[in-house]
Amino acid sequence: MQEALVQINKKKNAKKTAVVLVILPIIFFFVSICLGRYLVAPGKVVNILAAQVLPLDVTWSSIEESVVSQIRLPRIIMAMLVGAGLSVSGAAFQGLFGNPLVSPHILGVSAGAGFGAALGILISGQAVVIQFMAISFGTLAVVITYLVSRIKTGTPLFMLVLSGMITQAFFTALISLIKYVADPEEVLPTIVYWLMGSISGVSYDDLWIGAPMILGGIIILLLMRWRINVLSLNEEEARSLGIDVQKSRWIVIIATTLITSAAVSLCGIIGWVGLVIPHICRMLVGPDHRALLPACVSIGSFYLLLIDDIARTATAAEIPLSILTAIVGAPFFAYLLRKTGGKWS
Amino acid sequence: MRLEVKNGEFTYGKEKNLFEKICFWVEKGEIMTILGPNGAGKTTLLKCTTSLLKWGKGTTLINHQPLNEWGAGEVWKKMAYVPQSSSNVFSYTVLDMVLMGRAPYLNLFSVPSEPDVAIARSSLETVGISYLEGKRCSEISGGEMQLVLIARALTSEPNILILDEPESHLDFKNQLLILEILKKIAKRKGISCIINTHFPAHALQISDKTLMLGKGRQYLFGKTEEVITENNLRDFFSVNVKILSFENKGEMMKTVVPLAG
Repeated sequence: MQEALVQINKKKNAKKTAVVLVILPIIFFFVSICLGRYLVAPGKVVNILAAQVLPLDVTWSSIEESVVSQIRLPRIIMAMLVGAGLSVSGAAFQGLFGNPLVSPHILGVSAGAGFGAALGILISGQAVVIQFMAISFGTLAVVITYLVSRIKTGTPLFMLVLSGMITQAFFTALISLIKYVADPEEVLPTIVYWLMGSISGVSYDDLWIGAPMILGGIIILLLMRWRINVLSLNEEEARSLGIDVQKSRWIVIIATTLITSAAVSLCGIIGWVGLVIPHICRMLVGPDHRALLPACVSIGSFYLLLIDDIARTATAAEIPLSILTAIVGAPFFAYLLRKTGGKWS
Repeated sequence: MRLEVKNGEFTYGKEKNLFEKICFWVEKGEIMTILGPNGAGKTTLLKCTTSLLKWGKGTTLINHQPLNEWGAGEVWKKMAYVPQSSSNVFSYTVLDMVLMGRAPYLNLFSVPSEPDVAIARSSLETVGISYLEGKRCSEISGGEMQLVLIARALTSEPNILILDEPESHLDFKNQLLILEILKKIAKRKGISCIINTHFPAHALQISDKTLMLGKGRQYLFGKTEEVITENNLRDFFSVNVKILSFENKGEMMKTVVPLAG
């Protein structure tokens, strides 16, 4: 009897959590559009957004229109996509490697993409070139990791992790090399600032390249959410459950590579999100990836949006995202860790 | 279903063959135990049988058809493997863990549906742990976890169940519990079982056939009471033993006692 009551309560709580997880990013989306040095009233924001699809009378100024739809909207979409993408990738990788200390950067994709971007800034400085180089070198890094890790009988996880470390070390050194040769007056600050992560100045043109890649990766991972449960068992166990472990594993890796390299190509290397958001989501919904991955989409998009809002409103100059994700997130996570004793996973 | 191994051979690296032309078979609903000293290759033999490891030579056949002709997807619907233990950093609930047994039926992008959950629940009932459904795997005992793994294997609705030392780390009562459940599964559901064990007494208690594996590539295969004799145990385990019979509630039982010196 009491057991049954506990079960019912659990189900009720799960529903409540689900509702909050759906509503939270939506509310925050609207709040963020209003926020900024140039405040726009919420009613006007709704009208401006609705006017994109409905024939409404224009009751707002052209400045308000351009601030909302040309400056803030693409930036907010980008922040939410990148936050969701990195969090889902992190959760999927933690499941895949059966290790909660793993982040999406583990196979060297971020270091590779970072090098590509730095090289792009050095040789051209054009946004298209930077993005193209970042995505290419991010993918190249994962291919190198794959080639180094392959042995006769497939790819054991520890080989993959070690090869990832090698690739990461190599490309990190190349990034330093580029910084060393870059012009310290003009180019070096751009590279350094860019590598610390920023979503400022994102336009719709940028979205057309990065957004489909990130969105596609997220959809693949979400579809595989139950399969990732099985993949998190040790390899032999997973194989004995009749699944093609190598194939499933590589699909997860390809999806996260799409997401991470696109994210780095658009807004630099953003740390912390892919590592910690999955843990926070596990506290909320438990370790089952069927619930965990959707929760990561919600909390990840909410979190990076919050961070980006702080980045653009807190001070006159923009604060790089990597600094803020940890400065805001670390104390909060420390608090949760102390409170729960790490018992959620 | 009938499972048969024909002329199985296996080598780790460049060492000598672990087995040479090993042959055995189980029929529907039969229990076969594999006995042998540490290092004889019991676990390797099981893994080769299931295709988790590749035979050097020889094949495993299900209903007279080699495994590679069935295809990996089909094989794991006919046959389920219960590992010695399962460690996982993520503490899934018992139901979620057992539900993973449905994986052979679900493609890359699918999620289990209500009928799958119903099958998982009925496996929990078969092994008698429905009450654990909502518990996390990190909160239950070793004996309970072994039952969870058996339930997970049953959830793929196999005809053949292969277990690697299912009762090794358990206390008296839990050992008995596992043996009784395996007997029930074999007799009532007609599932053939192949079980690795360290205990000759357990083999005598539940199995129809026994394969005794020695270190020098020799092996014996036959009816349990013909294979497990004092002489054979002495030859294979290099220890003197006494097999004692006694009556319990009208049933003859046997136990095996190793003797020092």
